[in-house]
Amino acid sequence: MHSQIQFLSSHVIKYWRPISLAFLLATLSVALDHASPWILKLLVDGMQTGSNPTQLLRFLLILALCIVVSGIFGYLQRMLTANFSRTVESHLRVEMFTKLLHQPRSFFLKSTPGDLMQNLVQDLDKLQDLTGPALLHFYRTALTLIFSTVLLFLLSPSLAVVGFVFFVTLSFASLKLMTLVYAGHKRNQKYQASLSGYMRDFLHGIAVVKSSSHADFFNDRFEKYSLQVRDNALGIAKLSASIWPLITLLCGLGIAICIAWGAVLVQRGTLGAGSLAAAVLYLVRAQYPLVGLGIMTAMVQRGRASLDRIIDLYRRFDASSIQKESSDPPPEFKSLELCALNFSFEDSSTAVLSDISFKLKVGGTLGIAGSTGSGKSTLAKIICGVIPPPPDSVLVNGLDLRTLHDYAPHGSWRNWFGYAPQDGFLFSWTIAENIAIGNALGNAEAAPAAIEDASVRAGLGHDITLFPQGLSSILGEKGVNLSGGQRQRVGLARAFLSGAPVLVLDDVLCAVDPETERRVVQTIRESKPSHAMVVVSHRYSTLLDCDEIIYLENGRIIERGTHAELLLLGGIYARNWQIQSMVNQ
Amino acid sequence: MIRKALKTLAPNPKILGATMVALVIGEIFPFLYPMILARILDGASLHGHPAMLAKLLGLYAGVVILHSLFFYVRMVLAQALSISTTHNLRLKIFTHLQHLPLPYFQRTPVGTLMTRATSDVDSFGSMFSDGILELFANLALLLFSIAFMLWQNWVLGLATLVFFPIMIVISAWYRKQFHSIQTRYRSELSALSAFLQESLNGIGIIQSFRKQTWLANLQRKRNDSYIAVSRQYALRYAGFFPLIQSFSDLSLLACYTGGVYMISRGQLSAGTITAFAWYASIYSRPLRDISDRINTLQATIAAGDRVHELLATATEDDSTESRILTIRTDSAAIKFQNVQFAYHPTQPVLRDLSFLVPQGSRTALVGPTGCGKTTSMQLLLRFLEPQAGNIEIFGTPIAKIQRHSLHQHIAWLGQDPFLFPGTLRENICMGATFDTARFADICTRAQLTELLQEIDAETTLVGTGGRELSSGQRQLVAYARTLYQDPEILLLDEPSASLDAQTEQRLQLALQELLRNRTALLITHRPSSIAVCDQVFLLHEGAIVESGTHQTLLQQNGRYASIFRDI
Repeated sequence: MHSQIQFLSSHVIKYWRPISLAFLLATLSVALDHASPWILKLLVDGMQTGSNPTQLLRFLLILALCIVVSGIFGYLQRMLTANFSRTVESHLRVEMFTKLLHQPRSFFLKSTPGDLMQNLVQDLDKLQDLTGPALLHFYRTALTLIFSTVLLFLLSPSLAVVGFVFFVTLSFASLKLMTLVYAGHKRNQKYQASLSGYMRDFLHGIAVVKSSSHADFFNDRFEKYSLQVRDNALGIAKLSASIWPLITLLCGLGIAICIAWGAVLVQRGTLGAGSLAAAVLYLVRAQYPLVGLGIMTAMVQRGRASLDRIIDLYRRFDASSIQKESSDPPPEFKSLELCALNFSFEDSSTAVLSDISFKLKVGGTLGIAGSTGSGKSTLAKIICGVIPPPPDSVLVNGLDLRTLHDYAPHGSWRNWFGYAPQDGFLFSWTIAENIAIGNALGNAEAAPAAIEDASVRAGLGHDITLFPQGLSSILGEKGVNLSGGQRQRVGLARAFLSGAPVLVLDDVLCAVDPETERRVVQTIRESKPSHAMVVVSHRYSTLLDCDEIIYLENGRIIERGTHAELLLLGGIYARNWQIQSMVNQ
Repeated sequence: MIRKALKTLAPNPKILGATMVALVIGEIFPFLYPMILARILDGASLHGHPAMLAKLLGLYAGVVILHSLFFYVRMVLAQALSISTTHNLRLKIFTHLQHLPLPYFQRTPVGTLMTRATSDVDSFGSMFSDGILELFANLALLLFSIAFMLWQNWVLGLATLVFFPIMIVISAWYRKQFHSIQTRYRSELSALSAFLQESLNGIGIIQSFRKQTWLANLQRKRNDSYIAVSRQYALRYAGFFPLIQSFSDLSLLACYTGGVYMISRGQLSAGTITAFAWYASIYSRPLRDISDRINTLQATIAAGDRVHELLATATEDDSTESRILTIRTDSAAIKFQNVQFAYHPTQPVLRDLSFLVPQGSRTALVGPTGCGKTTSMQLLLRFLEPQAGNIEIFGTPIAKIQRHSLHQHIAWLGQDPFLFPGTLRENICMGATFDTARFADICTRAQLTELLQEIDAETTLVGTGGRELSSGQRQLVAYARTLYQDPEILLLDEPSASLDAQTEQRLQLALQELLRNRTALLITHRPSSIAVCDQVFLLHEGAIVESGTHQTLLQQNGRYASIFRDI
């Protein structure tokens, strides 16, 4: 609770002006709303005392004024609230997203995209409900309760006591019942989610489903999930169907008791008929907002749960301030050296990499081989600056890379490296825009000629002619779909476009067919003079021309040398090479 | 529309009828309260008839109880109706999906189908309970309030209803506004969500190319346009409620004015004017809610349209003459005869494909992406139908074989070895009867022994939400699945991603088991897999350009040799 208030006040305090104005307008509009039952009392009283119509018409004029002013104030208050809560939402989303973009890799290992999406979309939306409609509804309801009780007191103190007890009972009942239904719905969501999960898997594997001859198998399992949803929903229905009738019963009986007590007072002669009429109307009119409290509570509960998640996210954010990335060209690259690098992830004691040393100069190519899980990808990510290395173990031009990470996290040194990962992620933009992300400048716009050149060098030249709009074809669900190999080559084209002096290719051709692979490797070799390269690959034919190949197992280099030297050595590398080229034996 | 919905949803007519009756009767009760109060004010309390007062109060309590009771019956029935219709519709859709042709799934994004099959079905399934019944309840309340007021006192009634036409106009105008803005709001929201989702998935790329600030600015623009629509939406609502509330209060004012006129002529009782003040507060509620109800109903109808569209999509038809496959031992296992196929008339995928695969032999199809390898397999499975030519299996044209029977004899193993959420055993046996000895034997042959030491085949869940298996392990499970099915013909589309050497070796051993005593057609680039094939076809632009064994093709020194020589 404390942290919630703290977070809200720090993000909301700057809007104190519209907020206090909204509260003021709400107060006035609710107060004026209470005029009409009182006027009814005056009419009924006037009727019985026989006062003249002009007097009564004057009352009506006052009422007309109250209605119009209350309407205008109510409108202005809702406008202010809607506006302000969305401003908070918008501001928080931009801030949150910008912070997210600057989080280190380790952050994303601990949070799933699904959770972050919930934070960015649903949680902020629920928070908007909390800071806007829910807050003001509670305020207006509380005011209604106070004004109604005070006015009832003026009519008859004892009736006010009965009325107050009714108000309080109704509020509690409404809150309690809604909380129960809310819990039931949460259970139902769980079953719905497993049903949807099954459906999604079914659709993804539709080709397997269709080629199997076991349609009943899938039908039976789906029916099981659907029955689960149905039976749970029927269970909740018994409870949730009784809520509104129960509230109706409570309101009805509560008002009946007040009428009974009022009628007794009238018979005793201590209360006028007009006062009883007004009292009943106050009760009738107050019941709606009080019942609404239950619905609002669900909103508040969701809002607070969302707020907790947002606060938790902010806590996990890296504290370092956000700086703009440098788009300056990097200093001239001379050499990259690893000196006995040992590495393990923050939260684990197992070494991922141990005692890795090598030196790479301009024009040099280092090959990295090894089995799955041997640390190849981690090594590639350390070399290109995605994961910060321990101090004094990675030196570029003789400078410690860790120092650069710590003191200039977004400095121009980062433009030394062009990185192409195994799973080149593509956005549902055009192919050209996807490649343009690699652009060395701060924006992502590059000359069409440069993009085309990069795509041709990545071996995409022929593929692109097959797409309806060439490089301008949109990717993804709305456009063309690329094969795994084509996706990887778009990733490669990005790295080429960056013009970085050090290219790190992490198993980037594994999904490409041999014919294309050879073409691409040749192109890379041709551009060798200007680039240093680190190539990770399972397919050793990609590594044939490397100046040095290191073979990793459990994070250690167990064999090293050129392709020819490794074959002579007759170790694991040589044995695997034999398996891969079995055909020629 | 409603007739169509009635036909698809087929709600239980008795329950639907009972709900309607409970609803109509239930909406009368709210008007009885003011009537009783009027009697109390005018008669019982003022002139000191305690017995009369007690009777009226008893009546009031009785109305309260009946009101709640009818309300409860209506709610229970409506919910039961919606829940069971939704369940039935869901099963209907699921069966329908299984019989849609594969190209439909290729051109329809999974996200779209998910919406159709889950939220659209839910929304449409509750059409009667939430949509039509609620709207009906509102209309009933509105009509009853008008009728009661005119019946009780027509002068006051007319006075109170003087703003009614204006309120109808306001409500209708806002409804239209809400509807159009809701559509825009939803599309902005899904655009923003899609953008955010993609950015999060691709954050590694954005960071490694240092485009954070650039992307943050892009996001700011998306967010701004979303917030603008969201704000507009909220402001419309902010205007609507106070406006309707004000007119409802003005109705009350009009009623009072009428009252003053009647008082001046001495024709009005305290009870009547009080009852009218109460009526006025009831009758503005349905006007306030009706626009929301109509919009909900419209959304439901739109969901229903999408569900109907899906249900109307043609399923694969098995013609009446189709029959069960009989295996003839004297003919080729697979025969393609001048087969032509194109998705679009201008872009033929298969130009003129003819080949034979003898029983028990292995054939490799090789060639660049788009040469027609995968299409040939899909034709064999009858996922697609050729435009010309003939495909036979064991001497029978496949067009004459029931798909179900066909798939019992031909197994297909795609690039993505798919695991369903469930245990390993369920994934391997699927619907087939489980045999302990056979299962154990197949797991050993499929090189799953090591995996089975780590996980339990009968309890550990794999697939989404379960234990994650490596791509090599998934491939082995898919092999085991096929071994369990034991089909005569195997169609294998081997994944081209290279794995580490140990995993490769294990896959090779399992593949040998899989190919034993079977006719096989393989799409592959792996030299080691090609080596075990009896014949190799090199496809180019939908036709075979070179054929022979691996060795003879290398000697030909053609296209094939240029690809595979160095490896």
